Amino acid sequence: MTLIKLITAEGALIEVEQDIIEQSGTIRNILTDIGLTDKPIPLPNVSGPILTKIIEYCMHHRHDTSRRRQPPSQPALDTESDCRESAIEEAIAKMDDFDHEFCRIDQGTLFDLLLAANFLDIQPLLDLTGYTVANMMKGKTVQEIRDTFHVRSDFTPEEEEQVMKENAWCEN
Amino acid sequence: MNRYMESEGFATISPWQNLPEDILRLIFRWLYPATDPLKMSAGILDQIAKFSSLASVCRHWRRVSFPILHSTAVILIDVTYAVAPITRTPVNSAGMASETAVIVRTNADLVLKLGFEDCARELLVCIAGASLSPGALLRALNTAGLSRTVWMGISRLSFGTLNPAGFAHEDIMRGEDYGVKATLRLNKNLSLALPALREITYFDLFCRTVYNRFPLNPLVNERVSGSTKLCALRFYVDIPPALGNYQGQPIEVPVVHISGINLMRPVRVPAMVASALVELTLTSVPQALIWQSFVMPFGASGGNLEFSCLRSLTLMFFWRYSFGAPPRNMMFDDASSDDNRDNGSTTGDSVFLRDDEQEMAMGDGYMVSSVYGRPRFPALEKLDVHRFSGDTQQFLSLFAASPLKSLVVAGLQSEIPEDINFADFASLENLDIRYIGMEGSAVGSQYVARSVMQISTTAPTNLKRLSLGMAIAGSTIPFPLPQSNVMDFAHQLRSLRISSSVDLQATMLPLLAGLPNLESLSLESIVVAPIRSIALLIQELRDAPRILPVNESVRRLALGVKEGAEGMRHCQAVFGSALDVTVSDGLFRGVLLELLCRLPAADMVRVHGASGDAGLQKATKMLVLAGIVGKRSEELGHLREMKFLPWDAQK
Repeated sequence: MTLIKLITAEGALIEVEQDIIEQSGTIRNILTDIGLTDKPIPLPNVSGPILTKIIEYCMHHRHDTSRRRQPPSQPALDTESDCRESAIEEAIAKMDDFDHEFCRIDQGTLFDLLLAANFLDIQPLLDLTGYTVANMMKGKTVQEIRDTFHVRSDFTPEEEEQVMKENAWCEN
Repeated sequence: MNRYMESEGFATISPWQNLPEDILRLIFRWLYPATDPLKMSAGILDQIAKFSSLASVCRHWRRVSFPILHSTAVILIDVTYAVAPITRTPVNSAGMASETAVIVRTNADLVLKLGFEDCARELLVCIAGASLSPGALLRALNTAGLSRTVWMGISRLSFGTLNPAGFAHEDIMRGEDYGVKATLRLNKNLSLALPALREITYFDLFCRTVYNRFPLNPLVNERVSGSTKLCALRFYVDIPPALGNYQGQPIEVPVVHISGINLMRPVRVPAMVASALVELTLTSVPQALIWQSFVMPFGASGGNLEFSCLRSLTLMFFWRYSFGAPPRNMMFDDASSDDNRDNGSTTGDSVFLRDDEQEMAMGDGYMVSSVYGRPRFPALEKLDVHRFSGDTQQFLSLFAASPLKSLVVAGLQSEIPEDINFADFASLENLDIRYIGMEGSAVGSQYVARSVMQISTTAPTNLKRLSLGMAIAGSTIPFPLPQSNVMDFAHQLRSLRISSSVDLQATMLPLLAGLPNLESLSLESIVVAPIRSIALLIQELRDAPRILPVNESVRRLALGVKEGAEGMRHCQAVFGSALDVTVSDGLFRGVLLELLCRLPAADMVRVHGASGDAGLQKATKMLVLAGIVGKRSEELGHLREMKFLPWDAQK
């Protein structure tokens, strides 16, 4: 069992087993390039709590090789999912209990996880956080989306008018 | 992010508003509807309209979402009215029975209006209803705005039918909409509007509705240099003669459904590339010779027929039973030597099936082609066999080398041997056995009991879903449930479905107790024995010693109710997509109560189809009340939620 040393954004040292953290394409590439090393790998974009959360995810899915091979948008043949309409419904249906619990987090943590999964190139986690966010948008009106994500409209009055015209098509 | 939320509030721009484009695009992609013809919904335009709301949130989201939003131009042409009797009215200029005969819905005009036609990569044309003549199709496309610009970015055209409604009434169509000139006009316009077209995908092309006319054939042959794909093809009764002309070579199509081609006259089956097939359904096609319509791709080594990508195979043989006579055989022949070809098909690439007096032996012989030998299915995951009248065990053994995950066997007593053995299918996760024609007799029950015991003892240890059922409505003879102690897969089982009467007390509860990881239980036509009134049940529960749970893995409960035959109300309860109960009205309340008390993890109840049925709602709520006010609160008090929903909200 080889331990890999990681340095968080706060400068804390965290050790993690190689086969766990190698679910990260970024770490895997670094290890391929420089070989196994005792030197800690700095992760300036990832805070300690977020890295801990990511390690928790990777530990749970460490033996889940099918997950790495097959993105949830292309589920395996399953009679129970035959009738699902969209990729997001299919993906959510495929989430196990751990994933459901894992995503019960505040919006800020979800945001940071999304960025970290992208930085560390952990595709299943990026998918999981991605469709969790997408699910928060699904079925909402524009204003509800803005309220949910605290997004302000930055359209000029002219642009706003243009948006209104476009939306008329959607309402037909 | 949290720091922003706490300290900055809405005073500054939210981090979500500046999320990197690649991540935002990834999120938006989840929300854009599937445009894959095999996955797309008939409501794709409505789904795109919902997606467009993302473009109205802020500038950044608009910039990221617009290329996705306009990536597919969709044209839905609804000609359903054209086949209705009411359309037999004077023909209008559109060549249809009335102005409302053809309804065109599209997002293409908006894409054009906004000047985003260069974003479009794909054009999706779906025809719902009857087939369109080439002339009428061209008019519909132009109505949608196709000819108003040159779509430089579109390289893929998907063209097919949704919800086919039948045949076109040619007597109300204009003659000039058909024929070579009309077809050439359509293809010329398409090639001018779509100069970058490299791929055409046909999907769900039904015999005699669209495919017979195949109006894009010249476009394929003369203008498109790349590959052309057929996504899904369905034959009913007849084979479209134009299919044989498809590019003059065997066709590649992932999904094929063939039904009832067992005709008394020669019919033509197109030559199809076996390795392209993903899903194959043969209904009332009992002849072994069907395998000879599949060929290996050009250049493949060896002469064996291998369906290397086939994942789902459904074989339904009920023709023999339904018509009460052995099928007349069909023989393959060289097309060029046949005098009976119709509609001008001249290719030699299609294969003729000729009626013949010779009866092909069923059983092992069915899976043998005189040309290719025995076909192989190295990727087959799902096999459905219905009404196979030969040696079923031997037949199934032909698939033992396939990595089967799901197996459905349905048949009469003579078609499902009671000593049937599934030990060969080590990778099986889903097993579904449906007994047909057991009339609830004692003999039938004994046979089923032996068969179920055999299934329980021979099914592989990996089995996760087991479904057993008898196709008899209203039978009160309890289904002989297996015992968990003989199941090697008892600890693996996640889903159990019983479609028949069940003795809840004597067999169902003991079985549940032996399935510690069961997440999904589906019971239909259940009969509680002994039958008690709900009041009596509540009284018994109050007075009884503590009721021990039998299963602690089921978390959610939903109850569905729908009308059945007169005097009978079929009820369906679903435990979190997990438990289904279908019973008569007077019985279900007792079943629900009996089960709830023994499923302590069930914490949510949903009642579907109960709107307007106050009595049912009241009775169901009594279950909760009984738990809350009675001393059995520790058994029933865990219910957190009870909802009554209309039937169509079940999903």
